[in-house]
Amino acid sequence: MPQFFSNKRLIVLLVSIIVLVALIGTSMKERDALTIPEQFFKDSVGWLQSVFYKPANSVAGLFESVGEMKDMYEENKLLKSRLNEFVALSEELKEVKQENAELKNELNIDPSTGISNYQTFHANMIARSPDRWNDLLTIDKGKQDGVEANMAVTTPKGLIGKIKNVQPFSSTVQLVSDVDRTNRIAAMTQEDKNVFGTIEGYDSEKDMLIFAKIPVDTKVKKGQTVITAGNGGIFPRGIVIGEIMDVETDNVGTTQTAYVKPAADLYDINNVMVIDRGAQTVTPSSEEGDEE
Amino acid sequence: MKQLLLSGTLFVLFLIEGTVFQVFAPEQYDLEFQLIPRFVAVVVLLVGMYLSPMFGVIFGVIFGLLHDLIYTDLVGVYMFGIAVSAYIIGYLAKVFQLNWFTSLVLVLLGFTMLEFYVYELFSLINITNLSFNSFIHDRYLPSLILNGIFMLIVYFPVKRLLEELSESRRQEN
Repeated sequence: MPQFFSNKRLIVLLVSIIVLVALIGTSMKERDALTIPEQFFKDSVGWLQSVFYKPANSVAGLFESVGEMKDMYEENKLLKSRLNEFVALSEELKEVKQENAELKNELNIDPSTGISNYQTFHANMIARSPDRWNDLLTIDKGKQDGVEANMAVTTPKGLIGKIKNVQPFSSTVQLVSDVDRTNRIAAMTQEDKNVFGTIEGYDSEKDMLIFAKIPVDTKVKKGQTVITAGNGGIFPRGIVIGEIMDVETDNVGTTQTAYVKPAADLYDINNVMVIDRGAQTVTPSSEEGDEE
Repeated sequence: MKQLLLSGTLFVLFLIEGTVFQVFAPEQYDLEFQLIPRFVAVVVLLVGMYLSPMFGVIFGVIFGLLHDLIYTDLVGVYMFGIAVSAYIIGYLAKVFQLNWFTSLVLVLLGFTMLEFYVYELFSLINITNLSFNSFIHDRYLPSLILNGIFMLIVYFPVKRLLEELSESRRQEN
């Protein structure tokens, strides 16, 4: 057997370990934007990825729709009965919206600056990080389409994450299930009273989000819906995050922690919506008014 | 020409890991376990065994760096991991009589080294909070089987390509 490590190679190994630590250290830092070469690589590989992803996805979709065919009849009946309810609801919504606008007008609040005001645009997923340690997606809209870092990303069912990095023609989405110190969302439940807290991370054993910092004297129950609170600055108010499955009191006894099952399926994502809050010029007084 | 074919194959496998494979990932069918494709690493390990450890290191660095840039935020983790495991396996391969079975064992050993190294490193810097038990049961063992099957599928074509490559290199020298 040849000599496993000659002296020279041992030195190379040690130097590369040092370089590894240095590289990890520098790339772990909070970065505003990626370097130009990184952006270039991500963009060009992203284009190739979409060439692979889209046909595979449509083939999978074909199989899925064949499978769905047999439930179609039942579903159709159910949906038709729901349609009448929907008409009534949408009429009601229209009325409420109008009333809301009138009231806002009377109070002199500019309708474009509310914390639940936003516009969305659509994007397609083109790749996903294959090692599940980093839960990152790549989508096919980038800076050119108006995507910016920290925008919220949702599917029709609910919140899935936020934009982490933006390249000119693609961007990276950090899912809510990504374990990261900085991955925090201001959240609330709305039953009788607004209860505020923070989504502080993801429990990968239970596959649930951790909804922490809930004041101990407030009541949260299993089955309540958790939505974004909108006072973190990043996300608008009212995006569905998930449903509370379990509530625990912390061992210190000052706050409660709830486990939240995400409303969106984090593994079956095709089309996503990026939420643009627009330029926010919220005056402190209107912010306080919304807190109550 | 042959070298280009090898690099092209590795790049296509790299793209498949993140795109085509993710469409059929097991989690969306409510399965508990995770299947982690390490197709690029498997072929790089074969390169280290059949060509030379140094070639394993070169391909490991290139495709590990690509993986770091595209699929993670941290630069260097896979670059180092794939290169070092290809080097170690490449040297171990000189002890064995290489056939499909010993190759399989060595590739799975390299895969194990890579997975454990990445798991330990990521728990050290708090990227994951998965416990060791669920790491073994939900992640490591299913992925071991997946990559073993993949290795058996690509073994003969990749071996032929690599042997032709090392033959042409010998003629040049």
